[in-house]
Amino acid sequence: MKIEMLEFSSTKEIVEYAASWNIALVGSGEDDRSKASIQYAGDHCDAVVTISYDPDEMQILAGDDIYQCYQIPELIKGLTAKQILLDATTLGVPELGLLLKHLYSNKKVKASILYVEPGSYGQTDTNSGINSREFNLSSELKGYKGIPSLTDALDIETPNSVVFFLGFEGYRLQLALEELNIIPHECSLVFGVPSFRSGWEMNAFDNNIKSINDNDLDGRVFYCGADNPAAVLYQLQSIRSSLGDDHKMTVVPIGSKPHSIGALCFCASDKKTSVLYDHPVKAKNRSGSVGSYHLYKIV
Amino acid sequence: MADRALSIKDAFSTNRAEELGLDVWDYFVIPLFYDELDLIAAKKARRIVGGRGSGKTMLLRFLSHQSQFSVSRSFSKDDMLENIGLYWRADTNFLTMLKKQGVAEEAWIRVFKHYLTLVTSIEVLKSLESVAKSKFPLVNVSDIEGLNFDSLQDYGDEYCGDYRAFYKKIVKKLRICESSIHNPHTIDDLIMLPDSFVASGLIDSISEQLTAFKNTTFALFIDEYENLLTYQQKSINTKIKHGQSPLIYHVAMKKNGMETNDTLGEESIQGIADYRTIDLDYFLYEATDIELFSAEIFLQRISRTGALLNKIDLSIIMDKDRVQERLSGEYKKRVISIATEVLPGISHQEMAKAALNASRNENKLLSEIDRALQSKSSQTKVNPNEFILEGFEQASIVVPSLLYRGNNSIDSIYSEWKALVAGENNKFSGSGGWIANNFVGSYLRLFRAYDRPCPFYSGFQTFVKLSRGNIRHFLELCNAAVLRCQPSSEEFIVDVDTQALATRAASEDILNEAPTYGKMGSQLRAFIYNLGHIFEYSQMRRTQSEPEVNHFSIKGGYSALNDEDIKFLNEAEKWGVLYQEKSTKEKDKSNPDSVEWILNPIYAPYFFISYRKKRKIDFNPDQFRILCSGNKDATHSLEKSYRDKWDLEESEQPYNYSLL
Repeated sequence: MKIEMLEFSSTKEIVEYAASWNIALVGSGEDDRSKASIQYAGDHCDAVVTISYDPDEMQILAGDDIYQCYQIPELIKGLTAKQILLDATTLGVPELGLLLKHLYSNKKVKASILYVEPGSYGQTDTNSGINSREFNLSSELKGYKGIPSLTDALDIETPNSVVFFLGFEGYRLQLALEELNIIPHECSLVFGVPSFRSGWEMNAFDNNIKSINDNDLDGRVFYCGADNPAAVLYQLQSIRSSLGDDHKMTVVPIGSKPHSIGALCFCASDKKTSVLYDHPVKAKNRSGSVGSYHLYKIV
Repeated sequence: MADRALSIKDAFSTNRAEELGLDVWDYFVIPLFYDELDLIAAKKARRIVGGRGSGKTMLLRFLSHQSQFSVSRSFSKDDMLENIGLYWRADTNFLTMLKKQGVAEEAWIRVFKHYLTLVTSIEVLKSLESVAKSKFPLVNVSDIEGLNFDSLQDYGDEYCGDYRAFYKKIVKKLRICESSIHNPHTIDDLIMLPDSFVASGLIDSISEQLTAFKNTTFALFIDEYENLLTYQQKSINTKIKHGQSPLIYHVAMKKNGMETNDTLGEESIQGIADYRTIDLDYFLYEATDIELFSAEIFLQRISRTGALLNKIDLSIIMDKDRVQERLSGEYKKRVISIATEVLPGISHQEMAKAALNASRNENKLLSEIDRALQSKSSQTKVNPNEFILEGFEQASIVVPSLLYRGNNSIDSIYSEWKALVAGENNKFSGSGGWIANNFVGSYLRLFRAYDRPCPFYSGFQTFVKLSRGNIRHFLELCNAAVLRCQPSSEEFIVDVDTQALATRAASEDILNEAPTYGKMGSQLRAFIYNLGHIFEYSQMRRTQSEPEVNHFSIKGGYSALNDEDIKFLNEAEKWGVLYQEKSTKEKDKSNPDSVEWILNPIYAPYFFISYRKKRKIDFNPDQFRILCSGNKDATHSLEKSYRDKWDLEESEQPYNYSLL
C-alpha cells in the first residue's frame, strides 16, 4: 500500500486537479473546516452519504440505514461506486478505520481521502492561569472501548508493539497507560513534526511530557509530518519489519487526523495490527477558520 | 555523589504496579494491616475496594502465583499449597465489545462465561509452572511436564494430552473465542465449555495427579471489575455466590464500583453471607499507621538506589510475619525519623520567623496592620510597628485578621498583645487560641501575594497528610521532590523550598489527571476548579473569621439531592476527588443523612489553601449543582456572590504562581 499526497490552498485548486467522485462519505461537524469539506463533497460528488459510528451501540449509521461493523462490506457494495471520497475532516477514527479496512480488500473501488486543516484550535478557559497549552477539543471521553473488526484483546504476556500517535490532549495517552493491558516498554510514540503551524508541536510535547517521563517512554519517539500519512505508513511498516511474525501491533490514533489516516491504512493492510481508541466527543467550536486542503489517494 | 543523586532521582519514577510486571515479590512492602486482610487463607469471596493509588493492583499481584512463587522467594519445609492466587485484569477495552451487534444478551452471557472459563484455565495452568519453577520443594518442572489431561476428553475429544499440548489447546480455544467475538454472526457455531470445567474438570485432574495440590484452593482475583458490563458483573456475582474450594473468586474495584448485586439467577449476593469487603482506603487512612507505612515505602524506594542503606535494615518490611515488630515504638520512631531527615519540615513558629525575615513579607504585613488600624476608631493610638516583634512572629501574622474583625476593638487586641509580650495570660497563646485558630489561614493569606513556594506544604508529615492514604499521590510528591533536589553534600536532604515547589507541581499534575476519571472526568475537573476557587476566595478573606475552609456540606443532606447529584458525588468519591465523612457539627447530628464532603487535600497546594480539615462551607443544592455543571456564567455568578459576601476587592483574584 502507498499513499499519494497532494496539498491545495483552496477548493478551486482541487477542482482544477482532481476528477470527481461517484460518492462521498462524510461525517458531521459545525466548525468552519467541516462545513468547507462537506460543501466541497456536496459540490463535487454525485452523491453524499453521512456516516457515523455509535460507540455505545457499536454500529454504523449510513444515511438512514444501520450496519453492524462486520456488515461494512455490504455497505460498500450497496454504494455501487467505483470512486469514493472519504471526508476525513468530519469522519471519525472508527468510521475511517472500518471503511479503510474493507476498502483495502475491495479492489474494485478506488478511495481518496480529503482532509481540511483548521486555521486554529480552541483553547480552554479553566481559570487556571497556568496551562496555556490546554485546548478545548473534546467535551467528553467515552474511554477506550473496542471497535468490532478493528480491536483485539490485549494480553500483557503476548508481545505487542503499541504505537501512539500523540496530539494536544495529553490525558489520552495517560488514560491508555492507566487502564489498558499495555506494557510501557513496548510502546512507541509518534509526534506530528513538522506540525501544521510552527510551534504547535510544543503543545503536544508539553501536554504529554509527564506521561512520557513517568513511563520512561522517551527512548522510542518518532516524528512524522502532522499532515503526512505516507510518512506514518512508512514508519509503521518499518516498525513491523523489525518485529517477529508472531508479534502483534496496536495503533492508537489520538493525534492529528492525517496521522490517524496513515495508521488506519496500515492497520487495513496488516492483519496482526489492531486499533485502540477512546471515542472523544468533539467540543463545540473546537477549531476556527480553514487551513490547507489535503487530498490523499490510496494506491 | 553525583551518581548516587542520579539514581535517587529514579527512585520514585515508577509509581504504578502495572509498570513493575506480575512478579512484585521484591518490591512489595507488606501493609501493616496485612494480617487483617485474610486473603491468603480465604475460602470465601472478597470484595476489595480501593481508589486509584490505593495499592490495590500491587496487592493483587503480590497475592498471585507470579509473586507468591517468585524465584526470589524462599520456602520453609512447612509451606504448603493451600491457596494459589490467579490474577486477571479484565481487558475492558475488549470485553465491552461483547454486547449488541445483533446478538441477544443471553448469547453474549454464554460467550463471556466461556471466555472466563478459558482465561481461568490458562491462569491455573500457568500457576503450575510458577510453582514448579520456584524454590517450592514439593513440585518440580518434571512433575508438571508429566501431567496428562486425557481424562478431560469428556468435555470434547480435543481436551487431552500432556501439560504443553493441553495448554496450547486452551490458548487456541481462547483465540477461536476471540475470533467469534469479532464475527458475532458466527457465535452460534462456537462450542462452549460448561462452567464446571475449571473446578470439576481441570483442577480435579491436577489434584488427582499431584498430591501437593490435593487441598489447594485456587483464587481468581478479578481486577477492574467496575469496568465490566452489567451482565458480566452479574456473571461474576454468580461465581461469587457459588464459588467454593477448589475455586473461589475475589473482585477488586473502585469505591461505588459494584453496579449490581444481582446474579444471573433469582438470587443476589449479600455482604457477609457471600463476600467480605476489604476497603483499602479505610485501612490506609483510618485503620493503619499511615505515617509509618509511608515512611517505610519511602525508605524502601530510596534504599533500592543504594542510598541510606546503612541507616536501617528494611528486610523487615518484606516479611509478613514481622508486622507486629514494625509497630513497636523504637522501630517506628527510627523509620519516621530517617524519612523526616530526608524531607524536613518546619514548625509554624519557624515558618512565621522565616516569612518575616523577608522584608517584602514584613512590609506587606505592616501595611495590612496599618490598613486594619485605619479601618477602626480607637482610644489608643497604636503604631503598626508595635505589632512586629522578634520572637512573636506568629502573633504578628494573625494581628491583621483580628483587627479586621468587627467584634475586636483595637484596644482589646493591643492589650492582649502587650500581655503576650509581657508573658502574662493572653488570648493570643492562651485559652483564646488566637494563634492556634488563625495562624495557618493568616499565614497563607500573607504568603499568597508572592510568587514563592510556600513552606507550609513541605515536610514528610505534610506529604503524608496531602496524600491522605493514597500511596500513588505520596510517591508522586516524593518523585517531584527528589527530581528537583540538587545534591550538595553527603547527607541526602531535600530542602524545604524544593519540597514546597514539588508539592505545588505534583498537585497540578494530579489535578490535570482528572479528565481520565471515567465518563465524568471533564466534569470532575471543572468541579475541582470551581470548588477550589470558592475555597481560595474564602482563604483570601481579610478577617479570616472562618479560616482554613476546605470542605462542604449540602443543606438538607442526601434528602435534598436528586439522582443526578448523587451519581455525581459517587463518581467524585470513586475517583478520590472528594471524601465523605459524617458531619461533626452538633446541630447536624440529628440528621442521619448529613455528611461533609472533603476536597482531596492533594489539591491544596495548587489552590493555596489549607490541607487541614478545619472548617466547612454550606452550599444549598442549587449552588452545589452550579459547581458540578461547569456552566461558566452560573459559576461566575456564584463566585461573585461569595466575593461580595466576603468583601473581596477586584484585585484579589485566584493566583497561581508560575512554576518556571
